[in-house]
Amino acid sequence: MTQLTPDAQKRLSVFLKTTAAQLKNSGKDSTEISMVISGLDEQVHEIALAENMTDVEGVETILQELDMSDITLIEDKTFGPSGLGKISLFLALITLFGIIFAAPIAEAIGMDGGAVMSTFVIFGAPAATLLGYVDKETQLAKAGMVLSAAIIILFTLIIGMALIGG
Amino acid sequence: MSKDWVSQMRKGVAELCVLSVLGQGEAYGYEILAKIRSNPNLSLGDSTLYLILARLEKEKLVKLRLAPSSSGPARRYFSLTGMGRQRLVDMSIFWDGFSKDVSLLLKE
Repeated sequence: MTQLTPDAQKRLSVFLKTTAAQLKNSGKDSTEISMVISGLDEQVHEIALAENMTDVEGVETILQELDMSDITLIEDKTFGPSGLGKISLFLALITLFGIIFAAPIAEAIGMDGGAVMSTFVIFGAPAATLLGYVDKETQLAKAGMVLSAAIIILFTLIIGMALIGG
Repeated sequence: MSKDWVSQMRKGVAELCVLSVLGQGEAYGYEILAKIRSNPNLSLGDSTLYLILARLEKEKLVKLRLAPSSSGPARRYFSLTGMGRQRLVDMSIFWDGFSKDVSLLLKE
């Protein structure tokens, strides 16, 4: 059975990997990327074998003639349709800001710094996690979820250590 | 080179064309593309077909079967699901009425 030459296979692999990486970096949906990339891989093999263009020049010609004009239409997953990912990340950042800056500020104006910090964590972090979960396929929602989950874990550890320490 | 409005019109019916080819039986990506392109006025971008197939699969209108190949990557065969067949019927009925109305309008 005829196959692509090693050089041709290498050229095709580079093309597919580069295209997939570019799309992934621009926040495109990974399921759609995977479908398009494996489809193109199958298709280039198909044409190369049918047209006896199995060497590197043949594959290069096929790649140049591929109509990739619509590849950018792969669904964008950076922001997502609902925008909840954006809110999730924003809320997680506000919570982080609250933990770092709000407590000392509250102490400075005579309030209970610990209570202010706890309020940020108790309300901000779970809300950010929840909103992120709703839009979990988007990049920003993932970032919001990871950040707020890290805050919750860290806060729980601090409280736990404080309780153990008495 | 195709004019922009030509590609826009083609895009509008691309999904119907893909479903229609699959309505004739199971087919793999390149086969679908070749069948569509064998009609002189129809065309489909190489990446467009796989995007359409990905979305049809996500909507559970088509299902995928992998068949190993000794000469390259596994060949992926697509076929219509029950929902896909229903969508094809619905789209075909709509297309009949739609194309008749446009033709009538053009003749006026």
